[in-house]
Amino acid sequence: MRKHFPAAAVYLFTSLGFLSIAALFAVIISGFFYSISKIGLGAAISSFTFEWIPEGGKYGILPMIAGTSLIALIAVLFAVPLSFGIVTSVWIYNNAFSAFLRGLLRFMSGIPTVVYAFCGIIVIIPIFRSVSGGSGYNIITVSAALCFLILPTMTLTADSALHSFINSPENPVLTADSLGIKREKSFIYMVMYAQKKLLFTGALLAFGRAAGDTLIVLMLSGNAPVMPGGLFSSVRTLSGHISLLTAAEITPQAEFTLFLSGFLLFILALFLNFIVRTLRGR
Amino acid sequence: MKKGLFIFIFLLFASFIFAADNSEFTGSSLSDFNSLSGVIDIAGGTAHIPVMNAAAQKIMRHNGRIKITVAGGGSGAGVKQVGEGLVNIGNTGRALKESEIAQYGLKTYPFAIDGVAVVVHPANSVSSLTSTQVQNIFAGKTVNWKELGGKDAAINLYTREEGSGTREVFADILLKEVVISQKAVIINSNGAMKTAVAGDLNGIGYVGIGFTDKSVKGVVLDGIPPTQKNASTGVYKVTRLLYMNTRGEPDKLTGTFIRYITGSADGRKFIEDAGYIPIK
Repeated sequence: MRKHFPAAAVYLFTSLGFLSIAALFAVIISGFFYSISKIGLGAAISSFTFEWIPEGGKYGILPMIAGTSLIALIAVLFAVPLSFGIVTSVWIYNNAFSAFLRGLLRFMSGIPTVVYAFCGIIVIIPIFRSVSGGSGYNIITVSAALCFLILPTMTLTADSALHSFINSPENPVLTADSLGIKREKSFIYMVMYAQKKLLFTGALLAFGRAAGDTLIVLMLSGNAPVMPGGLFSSVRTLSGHISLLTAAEITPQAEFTLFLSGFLLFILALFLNFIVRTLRGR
Repeated sequence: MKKGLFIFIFLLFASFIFAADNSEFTGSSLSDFNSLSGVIDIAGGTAHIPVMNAAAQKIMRHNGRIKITVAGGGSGAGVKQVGEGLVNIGNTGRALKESEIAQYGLKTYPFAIDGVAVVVHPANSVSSLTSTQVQNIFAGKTVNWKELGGKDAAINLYTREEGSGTREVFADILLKEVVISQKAVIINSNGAMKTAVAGDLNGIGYVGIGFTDKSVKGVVLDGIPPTQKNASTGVYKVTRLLYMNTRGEPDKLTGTFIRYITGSADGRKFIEDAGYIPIK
């Protein structure tokens, strides 16, 4: 009995884990279709319009889709140079400070998002308010805060990608060193070039994390349900939309948009995962 | 190391027990909790939180076997969660709708009066507005402080989310038919609203009067300053009652809690400390 316990436990917890994922999937899908059956297909399709004015019977969520894509994309654009810069310097100098940086990033990945959001309100919003005018609750502010959130994801993925390459039997960096190539050059043109696919998967994972985050966007984006009119305009994201409306008493058609938002985020996550797995060749 | 941690945790728990033992006997109603134990979960309107927290702390310190959790979420969440049995008390900053009472069989207990104040940054030179001006501002028709006698700067609008009791009172009583501009920044609690306006020289928003302090300036509306005194006498019109709601009859512990808030000297004090006016 005791001998078989670990294997049994593994099966048990694996199947429980699988079940909970299946249940989540079932809830979103069934809610989605039940909601369509309640309001009709026409009303459901009308959710793909540009105006969200519940008082006026307009339930378009295209602004939220645009908002989510835009903030996640800009956050990744912010984070890519930072992350690649960090990872390159970590490997080039490979000293005590590198170890410290890695530890710091691991620590950062465990910080609750509300902390980033709070710092965003205290620090980032006043900065962008003074730069751009307006309220400061806008796309750039959110993306800047999200950048800190996704930086560890992206950097640690890149770090492990470089790790597996540099520690391979050929040890290309030593070869490059012996040829008198500067470390900076051998890293940028050789190591990072060779691992570009894996670096890209890091960016994709980071994009997924940024698109799915709720609290930071809820607290910093301004949540205005309008098409983004520039980098300093306030936006609402799909996740923020779900969070804002769950607390309210709402019409069936507004409720449908919640399931639709959840469904879209779900599809996005699946899609990103699929690409990441393909790129990693698994 | 582990041993140290263990001792630390032990001391922590021990200190809780001592704290409970040392609690003084204060207020006539607090003793009603003596023989009770259990959990009260509270959620809903964010304006209620200071009152609920103060009461919860006092009760839990008095009787360690009672656990009270207080969460926000807004009035809409309050109705939903208490209706579905997720919490014992669902707070709302507005009267329940007929449909809500019918759907969930809710019982409602008003306990305080709160006004909703239009607030701006303390350094804003505009300090009084008419209802019509406020309507135009929130509709997005008036877009510059210059038009209101202030400096030449764009107005930054802040509003609360749908489902907020504060928003509902503000919209129903002050804005009436006016629809709030789509471009307004949506903030999802009274506290966050205060932080937002306190940090924005050109901002305008609205909070429960209980939340106003030196960090924001309450705008004089149609010549009447938004104070709790004016709200309680009815001179200031943008007011609301704060309610606790239960599904059906409350259980013994929850009922005692509600009576403690509505009918004890402590309850009155918590309500006044939070900046509201007790009913009766």
